[in-house]
Amino acid sequence: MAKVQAPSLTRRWLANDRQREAVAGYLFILPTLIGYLVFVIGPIIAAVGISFTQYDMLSPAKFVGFDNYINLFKDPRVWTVYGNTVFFTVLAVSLNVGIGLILAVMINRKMPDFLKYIFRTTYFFPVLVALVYSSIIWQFLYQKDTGVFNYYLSLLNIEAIPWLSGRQWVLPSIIIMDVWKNTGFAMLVFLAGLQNIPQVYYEAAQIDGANRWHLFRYVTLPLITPTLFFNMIIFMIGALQVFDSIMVLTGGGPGDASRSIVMYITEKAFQSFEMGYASAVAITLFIVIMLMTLLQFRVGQSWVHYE
Amino acid sequence: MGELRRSSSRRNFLRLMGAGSVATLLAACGSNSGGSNTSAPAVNSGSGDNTLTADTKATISIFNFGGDADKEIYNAAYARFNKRYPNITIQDNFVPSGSWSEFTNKVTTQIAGGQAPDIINIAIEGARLLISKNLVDPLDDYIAQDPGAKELTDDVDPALTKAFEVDGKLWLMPHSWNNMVIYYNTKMFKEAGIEPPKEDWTWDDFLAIAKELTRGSGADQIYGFGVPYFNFGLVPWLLTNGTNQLDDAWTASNLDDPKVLEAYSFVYDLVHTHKVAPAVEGTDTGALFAAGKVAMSGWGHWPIQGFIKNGFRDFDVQYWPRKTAGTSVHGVGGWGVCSQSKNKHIAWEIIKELCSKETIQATADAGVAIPARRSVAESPEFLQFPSNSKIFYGSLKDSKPVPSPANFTDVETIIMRHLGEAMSLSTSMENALKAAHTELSASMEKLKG
Repeated sequence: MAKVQAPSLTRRWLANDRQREAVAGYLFILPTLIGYLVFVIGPIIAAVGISFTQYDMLSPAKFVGFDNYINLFKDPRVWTVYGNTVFFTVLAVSLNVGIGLILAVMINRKMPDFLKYIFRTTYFFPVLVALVYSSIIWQFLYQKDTGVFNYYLSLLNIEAIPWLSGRQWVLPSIIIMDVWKNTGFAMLVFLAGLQNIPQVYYEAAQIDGANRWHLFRYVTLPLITPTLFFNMIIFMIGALQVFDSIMVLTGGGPGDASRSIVMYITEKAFQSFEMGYASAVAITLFIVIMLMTLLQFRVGQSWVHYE
Repeated sequence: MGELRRSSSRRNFLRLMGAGSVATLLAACGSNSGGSNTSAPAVNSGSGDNTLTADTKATISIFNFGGDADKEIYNAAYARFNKRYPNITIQDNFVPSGSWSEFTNKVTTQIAGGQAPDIINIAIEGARLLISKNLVDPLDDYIAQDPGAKELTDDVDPALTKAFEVDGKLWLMPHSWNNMVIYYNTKMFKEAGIEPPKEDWTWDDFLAIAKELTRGSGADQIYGFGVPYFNFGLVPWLLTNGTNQLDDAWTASNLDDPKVLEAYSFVYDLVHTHKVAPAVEGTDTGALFAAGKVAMSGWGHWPIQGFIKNGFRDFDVQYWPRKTAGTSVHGVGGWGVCSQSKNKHIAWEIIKELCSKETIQATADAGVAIPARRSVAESPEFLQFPSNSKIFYGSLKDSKPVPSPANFTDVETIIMRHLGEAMSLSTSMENALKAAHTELSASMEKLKG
């Protein structure tokens, strides 16, 4: 029986092109799907589970219900680090994306090719430098008493700025470095977007008497809104998870003045070994990022124009 | 300057390294029972039928820590071991130097993930955590049953083994250690006509010298002192004022002691009141010291090789200045046998090789840490440079281990975070220490529970 049926079964499967394609399709996405389940969904579920326990990784976990979440709302440090992270995100995203757009528009006009290459490479270069190296250099530039910036400011008789030690200065200092480092990436993405805008739109607008501002406002800007949207989402998610630049530059200090939420999670998880509490904080961050991304998509519908 | 930066000056690196032991290196401890024999001696250590022969087959994994120089020294030690026991494979999971706190956290995470090694290299900062979680075995039985071990233990100062004694048992075998002493630029002292500091100098003497050496402005600004701004580097100010971060048993916060406030305030004043030291945040003290921009600072033994490599030799060392007590802080690194190891007797045998005179001597030659073995630390080679090098081992008798309870990383981060608030003028030192005391007390309470 088996001998007879097996081939016929195979034939029936293979006979149908659509089914065959569907199977092939699922097979193709299977590796990604497994990876996603194992490395993304799995840890998220585990984190949710751990967030209801008291767990130091070396002794068995103890179920504590919602204790971690209750403590989290009472922990003033959580509010501080969330505040820092939001402040950083708003400014870093606006500046990275805004300056990236300006640079891209400036480069995307008629000029000799070699100049274009030079500008593009120059602005993109910081993206390629390992963050730890550039952070060390920026640390040297920012130092209050022996740093380069304050030396030049002193020549102008401006008092030394506590770039890394002043509570109100430290986050702006980190944002300045972040923009120097990352705006080149936004620029590159914008350039790709700009180059996709058909020239005919500009010609048509010019015939109608549009000036340069009009061209930018009514042709360029609407047509690159998908790119703008993409950049905003990418930079927002990156900024909400900011870690290494702050770690190297200030270690989160002074006090908690520049500590980000991810740094706080790391401290709780891998220094204090409060895995349960760290997971609870991580879950809140997950929810915040998800909500903000959804919000962006929702709001985006009204201003993003897909051709 | 690259090497110097790496080995001595980056704030982060220092802070961590400072944690005491930097050490790293293996160094010193014990002796090599049967060591230099090329034929495999049959040794019996540990309990049970654990006789090692040339035919013994096993794979031993080690969690290890240090710089490039250390790695070479370890590899040479393994090669010597493999000459005697060719069928034992040693896997060294070598973590490049960051800090002991970082390393401890990494190790703990890995063990928690079910990847316990056989041998572990850990500093005092991480020792209590491992001991409290039963992750390492006491070494007393191995030592008692191994006739070759006596030579090893006899050569190590009791102050070092004491750092690894809990409940009357020895849990780790010290290999190397570090402390904090004052480094001063001999050339700058000479040019300013200032006598080298005396052994028993006081905070007042220190401050007067620092003031005298501070001069210039803008690009020509020179500071008398560069604050070693990391936990380990700040503890000497407390100790020389007759106090400490925790009580003697390391069970409760002592930050409410007025003497603690006085000591940390002294550091604060150096920067903000007397202005004899640059702001602590983002300052690369090692680079400034080597460039002649700060005349004094504090380190253990670890930056010396970096300074020499960069052609900077105009410095000497002196004991920490005292207020009420002549003392300093030390941290110790040691080897432990993991409790989950299936080859504990082999692990012990390898530890002895890592603590052999040969290995220790190599460590001392590399010069990062102070060898735990007195015979090596007092050898002419080790004492050659800087000229007052005798104070490194010499300071041990009066110095105290850095407070390292099982929640050490909490202690360190809580104190440094709040100090940061005060040093950056966000709050007063008094308020910062009050807040730190409250937070630290809670952490210490949790430890008891």
